[in-house]
Amino acid sequence: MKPQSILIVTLICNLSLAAVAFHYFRSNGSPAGNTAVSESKAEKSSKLKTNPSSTPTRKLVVTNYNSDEFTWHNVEAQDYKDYIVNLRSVDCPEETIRDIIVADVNKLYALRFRELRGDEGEYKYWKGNGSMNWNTKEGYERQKKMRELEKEKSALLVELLGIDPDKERQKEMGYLDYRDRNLSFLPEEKKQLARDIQEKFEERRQELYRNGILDDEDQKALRKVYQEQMAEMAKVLTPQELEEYDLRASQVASQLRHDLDGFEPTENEFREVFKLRKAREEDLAYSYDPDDKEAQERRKKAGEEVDLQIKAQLGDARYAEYKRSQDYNYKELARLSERLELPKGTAVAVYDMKKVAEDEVKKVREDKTLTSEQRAQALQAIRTETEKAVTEAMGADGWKRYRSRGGYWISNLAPTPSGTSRVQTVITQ
Amino acid sequence: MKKLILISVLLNLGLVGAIAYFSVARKTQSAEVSAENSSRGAKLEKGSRSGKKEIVMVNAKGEKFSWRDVESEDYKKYIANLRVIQCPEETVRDIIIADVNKFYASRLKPLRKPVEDFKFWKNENNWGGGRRENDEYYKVQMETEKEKRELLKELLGADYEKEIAKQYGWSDQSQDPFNEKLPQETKDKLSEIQRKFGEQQSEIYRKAKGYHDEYVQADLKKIEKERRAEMAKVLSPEDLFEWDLRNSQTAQNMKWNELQGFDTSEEEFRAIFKAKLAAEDARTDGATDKAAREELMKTQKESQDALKATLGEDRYKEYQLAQNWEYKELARIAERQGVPKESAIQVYEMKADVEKAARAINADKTLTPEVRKEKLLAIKQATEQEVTSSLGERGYKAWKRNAWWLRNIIPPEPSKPSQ
Repeated sequence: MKPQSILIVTLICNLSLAAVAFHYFRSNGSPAGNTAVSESKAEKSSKLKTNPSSTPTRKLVVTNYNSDEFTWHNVEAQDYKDYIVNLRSVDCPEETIRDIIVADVNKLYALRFRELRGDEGEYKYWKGNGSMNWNTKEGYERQKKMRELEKEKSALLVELLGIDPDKERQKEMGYLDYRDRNLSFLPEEKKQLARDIQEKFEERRQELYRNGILDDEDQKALRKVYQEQMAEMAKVLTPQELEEYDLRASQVASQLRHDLDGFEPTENEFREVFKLRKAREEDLAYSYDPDDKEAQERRKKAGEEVDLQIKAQLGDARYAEYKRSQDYNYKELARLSERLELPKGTAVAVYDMKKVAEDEVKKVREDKTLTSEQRAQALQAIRTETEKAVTEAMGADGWKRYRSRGGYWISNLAPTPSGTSRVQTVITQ
Repeated sequence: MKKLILISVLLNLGLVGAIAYFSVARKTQSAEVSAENSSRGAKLEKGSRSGKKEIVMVNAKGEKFSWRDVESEDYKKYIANLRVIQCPEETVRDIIIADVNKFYASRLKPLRKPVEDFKFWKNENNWGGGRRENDEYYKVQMETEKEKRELLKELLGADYEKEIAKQYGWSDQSQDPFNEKLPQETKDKLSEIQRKFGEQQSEIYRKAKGYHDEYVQADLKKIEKERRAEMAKVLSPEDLFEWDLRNSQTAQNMKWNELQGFDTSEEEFRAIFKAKLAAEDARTDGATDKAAREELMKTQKESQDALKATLGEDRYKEYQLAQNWEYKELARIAERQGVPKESAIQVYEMKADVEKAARAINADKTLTPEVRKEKLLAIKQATEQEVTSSLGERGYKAWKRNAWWLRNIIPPEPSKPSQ
């Protein structure tokens, strides 16, 4: 054999052996149990997984060898979809696949979120998150981009796993996104369409809310945006569905839910009151201009008219409860009663005492037959009696807390006896 | 030529040696897996597809590799097995953290009320939930959280939290020189104190059910005092200051709330925090006697003077403005109207001048009520014009919503006595 031929043969052997050695070296790269972390997957991802569908793929099935011992390199891939396929091919449970992918995607996006927030550098304990202050134009824009990124992440997870596990977990915990909540009554095929419209108009609302100061013009603009949204939704929803949406998502419904806290309306009562208020939405709108007497008068008149309609609808007894539930004094009492876990009905009982006591005081003050001394004594007696009754109803602790917050009306029934300061009264009780 | 042939032959021999070495090393590693796992997995499949040979991933016993070869009921074994197949440490942590989280979540699940459909006529569902957890839930939650942390620490080491921080994009505080210098033992003690008092704090908030009166505030303050006292046993006064600077509620409030828009330097942040701490320490709750109040005012003034000296006159003024609610609103109006920040400052400062002038008019006994009212009205109108020219018509309207002080400079008409 010619030396030239021998050299060629040995060189071919060199190359073949080098290829085999390289393969062994790669799969034996780090010893078992080595805790050194390979290049962060998230870092790799940020370079390579920006477009999962276009990145190069590495398939599990190749034809070079008969068998190979398994290492993680055999399933890892630059493309998430291949990574999932590879994990499935070794019977990795779906739940574990989700855990791996969600953690990886989270890290990938966490880097981008940090970049957006502008805190990707070293930790500075004295720096807050001023860059995200949505009252500033820059902060608002950043928040907008954050929302877009959040959507992108969710879409990627849905594409890869069929669901967004973060959202699923939230749902399981009971924290349903209010956008989904408002659309929960719709058939599945309409949900996404309605959601897209909702989100489109949400952006316009956010722009109005951004400044943190809503004036009358903004309020009008908000109502207009909602009307436009409803007009667009009317193209995909039936009139009945639209009405149901209004009951869940409109500003009127939201305000009514707040106002009726403590009233415990039935579904039907809520629908009826909503209808009446909705019909007069423009007139009932609150005016932020303290000098706009005309608007204030219009609101007052509309309020009285709507109240009459509600009274006719609910009946006298329920109407009285309806009015009570909107009284700030009652709301405070109800909250305190709940906080102290007082028996149901305590808040109503104390609230009624207030009305009775104040009526009594009015009578005494208007009674021209009384001397000043007799009047003072009578007022003092009402106050003492009321304090006693409230203490019995709420307990000593309840009374102590109530008098410092909300229960000031009792002190107004009669002057505090001379020689006793309010501070002293509080301290001694 | 001969030399080249010789080099090539030697290279071949070297490569054969390297292959032999890697082959032996791999068998040694895999033997550890097989020792821990019972023989599981499907039978070996070789070259089965359309005449082509396929790569078949096998375990150490030559059986087709399956995830069951690494999975184990025992977390420690599971981790060891994952490491044997060279699963990156980061992925090992991701898998274990998610699994442990799910395990503990499953213990809490039965204690939570099932999710109900949204009932639009009920206010409790207004923000998508209402309270679905009872007291027992919170008790078990606290216990399981503690157990979970201990388990994860045991399995993955003390810095497993870094992995969680990475997922959520939280800043890595461990790189802070102060945190770096603290011994691990001290860090553990501090974490324990934080958790203990954090739980107590949560309990107060939970019981308050959103009703935060002065009694709740007093309970919270008491807890805070106790927390600091326990911290002082673990840290030197200097380190306690450093720790508070990073983690206390006062510092957090400064960072995320009060100083928004002030853009503090590190030095300024430290100076402001110092002044606040001095004022807080001097405050004695419930002190009603004159001497205690005077002492408090004196201490507060001293700390403010010291702060002014550190920040300088201009920055001190900006600092005060940044915390002022009225100014903040004015700044927002100015931004919206597209007028410079200076206009907001100008309007803000107008208030003190106007009130001073109004006081002088009210104090002037030579004026008749009519003339007094006329003069006050003139001041009010001039102020309104000034604000309109500074902030624009819409800005003025937004500003006057909360400008009660201006409306109040004119005394109200005396009401008619009731009949």
